[in-house]
Parts: sequence; C-alpha cells; structure tokens
Amino acid sequence: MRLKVVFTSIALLGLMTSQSYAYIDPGTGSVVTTAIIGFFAAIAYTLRRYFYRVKDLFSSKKSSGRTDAGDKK
Amino acid sequence: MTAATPVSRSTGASPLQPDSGSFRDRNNRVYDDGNRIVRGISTEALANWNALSKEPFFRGLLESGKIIGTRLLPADEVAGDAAWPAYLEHERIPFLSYPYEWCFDMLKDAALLHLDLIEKAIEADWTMKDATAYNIQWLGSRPVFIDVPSFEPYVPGSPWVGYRQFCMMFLYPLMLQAYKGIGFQSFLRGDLEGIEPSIASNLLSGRSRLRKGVPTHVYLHARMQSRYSGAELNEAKSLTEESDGKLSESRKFRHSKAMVLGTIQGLQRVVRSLSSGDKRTTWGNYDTDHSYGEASFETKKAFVEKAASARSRKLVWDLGSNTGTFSRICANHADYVVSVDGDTKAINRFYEAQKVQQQGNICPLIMNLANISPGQGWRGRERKAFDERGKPDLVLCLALIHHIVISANIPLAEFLGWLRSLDAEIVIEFVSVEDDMSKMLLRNRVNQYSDMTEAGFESMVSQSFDIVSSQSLKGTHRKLYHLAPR
Repeated sequence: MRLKVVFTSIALLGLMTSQSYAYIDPGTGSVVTTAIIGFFAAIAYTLRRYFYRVKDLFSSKKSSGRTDAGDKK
Repeated sequence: MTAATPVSRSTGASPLQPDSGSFRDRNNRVYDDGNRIVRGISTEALANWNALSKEPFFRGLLESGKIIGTRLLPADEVAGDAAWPAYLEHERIPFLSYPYEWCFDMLKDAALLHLDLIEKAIEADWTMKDATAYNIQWLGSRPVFIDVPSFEPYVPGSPWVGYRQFCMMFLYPLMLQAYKGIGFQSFLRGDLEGIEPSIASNLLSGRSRLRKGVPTHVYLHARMQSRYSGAELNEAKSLTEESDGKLSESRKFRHSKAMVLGTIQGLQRVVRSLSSGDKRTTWGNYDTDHSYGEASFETKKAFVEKAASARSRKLVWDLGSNTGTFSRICANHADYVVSVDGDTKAINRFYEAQKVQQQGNICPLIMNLANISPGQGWRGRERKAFDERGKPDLVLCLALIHHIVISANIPLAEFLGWLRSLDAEIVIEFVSVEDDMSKMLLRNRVNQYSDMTEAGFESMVSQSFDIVSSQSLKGTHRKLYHLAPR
C-alpha cells in the first residue's frame, strides 16, 4: 500500500511544475532529460531503499539475536 | 564595487589580486596575494556559509579532505575598505591543473568525487550550483573540491542544475575514451565547456550507442536538447515588434528528491563501470623496459638524487616524467613535484601507482611539451598557461631533448631559451644524434641537427647557465648536466 502511494506521488511530482534559477542555464532539454531519467531512477531508488530496509530488518534481527546470546554469556 | 578591484587587508600584505579565472558566479570572487588564497563572498553566500559550516555532511567532507580547507576570516584580518561583506580563506593548491591535462583515471576520480559531494548535499537538503570540472583540483594524486560557495540550500522540487555540465565535462569525455578509445584531452582543451550532447551523440555512434549510460545520458539527452533548442530558435524568429516582449514561460518540471538522487546514483554506477582500456604502451613500461643498462640507470638515479637533495625546493617539474621514477626521487626532497608527459597511458599508470603509494606531493599531468597548455578562456586569462602557474625551482629534462629537437623540430637554442626563462636549476640529459634512440628518430628524416653534439650543446648551454656538474653515462651517447641559471 505504502509503495503504491510512493509510486503515485513520484508520477504526480513529475507532472507538477517548479521554479528554480541558477547562474548557469541548466538547459530546457537537459531538464526534460533529467525528468525522464529521474522518473525511472526514482522508482529504482525507492525500490532499493525498501529492499535495504527489509534487508536491514532481517539482518538486525539476526544481529540482535547474536547480541542477546552474547549478553547471556 | 567592481569585482576586479584589488582589495587591501590589514595584515600589511600586498593587495589581494583578483584571480582571473574566478568571476562567473557573481556571489564570490577569489583573490591571491601571493601568500594566501582568499575568497570574497556576498551577503547571500555568507548566509549560506554560516549554515553550511554547521552541517555534519559538510564538516565530514572537510575533515576527509574532499573539500579544500576553508575558514571564515575574522573581520580584523580584513581592511575597513573591504569590498565584500566577508572573506573565506582557502588552503592553497600548490600547482593548478586543468581537466585537459588529466589522465582518464584522474577525470574519473574527479567525477566520482563530484557525484559523492552532490549526493551527500542533496541528502542533507543542500545542492550545488554547477558541476564544472574546474572546481576540482589536485593535492598530489588526491582530488579536492575548491568551490565552496557552489553549495546552496536545496529548493524542494528543483532539478539538479549541474546535470548537463556534469555530462559535458565528465561523463562524455570518459565515455569517449572508454567506449571509443578516443582521448578526451584535446576535446576539453578545444572547448572549455566540455563536449556538447549532440557532439557526444555523433561520436558515440554505432555499437557504442548500446553501451551503459549512452541511450539515456547521451542519445536521449541530445534528442531532447535538439528538440527544445529548435523550439527556442522558432520562438526567437517570431520575436517581432508586435510580440510586445512577451516570451513563453520556461518549462519547469518538478523533480522529487528521489528523482535527483536516483539519477546521481545511476551516474555513479555508469562512471564506476568505465575503464580506460589501458594495455601496454611504448613508454608505459619504462621502469622495466628502459633502454639503459642497469649501471647507467643507477648512475642516472644517483645524479638526480644528488642534484635534488642539494637543498629543499618548493616546486620541481619533471618534464618527460614517464611513469615517475625520477619524480619520486625529487619528491623526497621537495614540497611538490609536477610530473608532465605526453604519453597518456604512462601518466595514467603513474597516477594509479601514486594512489597506492600515497606519496602525496606528486601531481602527474599529460601535456605535449612542444605545445604546452596556453592561456585560455576569457581574454586568454581564465585558464592559465602551464608556465604561468608558478615558477619551479628545479626542472628535470631526462631523455627528453631528442624528442623536442628531433621529433618536434624545436631548435635546441629555442628549447634552452625557454628553460632559461623559467629561472630555475635544470637537470638535463643530453642525447646526441649518435644515440640509438636519436638514430631511430632520424631514420626517416634529414639530419638537420648539427648542433646536437656534446660540444655544441655545452657551448650553447654555457651562454645562459653555469654547469654545476656533469656525468657521462657509460656505454651511451648521453650525458647528464646539472645547470644553474647565470
């Protein structure tokens, strides 16, 4: 469910507009390119974060188990 | 004030001279008094510095040496007529270098440093104004970011504005070498802005178009740029008096942080995957394949050691350094050594070896010594000529003279005249036309080098130098000289 919310918000964010100014011209074509690349990259980025979060969950359980065992000694 | 106004300080030092390469961002300007590097900053840049210097991510980058040592100058160290609201002082870079003088792995490490900085900045709600490779310099073989005011607070929804500049100055040059085997140095020397997406797209054609990162960062980028610049051209044509100054709104796309960070991390994976494809090189194996007998090579090392250790020097140039045997000898007795060679692979190997050895005071650079880097950019001053970035105290020219005089057809007197203009001590290896290597270079050309005899060389040298010591290399037609300017 949370993932769905994330994806939907990414998609919507891509359609919204934002003002930004820089002393170098980022170039309209380049900004559109980063929007396209960024859209897919954001999905991969979000999935990676969730993957590591789940991985950490399991590994921390394991490590906490080891700590407990260590404490008992 | 005008940004170019010299600024006086209360320290009694000479006035700060504005750096001729620091003017694009009107929020700051770098000055040099020959002793310290000082940066005048605007009120906005000062507010940024006050916030940035407290950020854990920034403090971590400073402490790890990824960002140049910087401190805010106390007000009493700046004169009352100071032209800027505040000043930062930076650690001095011993010798400036530019991306067109770097080898593949130097540009790659500089690219990864920039991506690391922008990633950490975005994660901490900061961003960087630009992505120019000129904001990275070298302390030996360690890249360091020098443009602290480039950091500014991240505005939610804004894109990474440096993306195009990063592609043009880092990604495309690296791809050109990695995917096509074409050195990037002449491209970056030819255009200080880097390689345009459309040019990169044309160069990375055929099968290269399928290589990692090319379909998106090159091909798509070039297509999008062409499409929108075409639209802008049409708009420009329609700008008549009747249009009443009405311009179409620039297109803005809101970028989430996940989009920006995802793009940066994707680029990190692309850049890490690129390799120079280095194989053997003519001179790259010089350390083991040199044309000397062991005894002569040891004699040569001992001669250089003696000249280099005579006294401590601030800056040594090793011209024609190859993979750096003699640079390393000098580095033990000097503050800083700049090693230059025209062989890109030799310098790449030298750099890779330096990274492992961590002898932090040698900077290897690529340059054709018959065509050293000139002054470039705005008024020919923005990027300094190689011989205008600091005078050396000692210059090595070992196994170089025949390449200059015979291969490049630079008259011996011209070359010696240039060396004299450096006003430094010289350790030079004279190679006569009887030498096997000279004979090889002469194989297909007329011998017009009658002055390349030992007597002719000594006579010419004596006009502007004192010969401190000399040593013949047994079994060769070569002789070493330690010269002092007269």
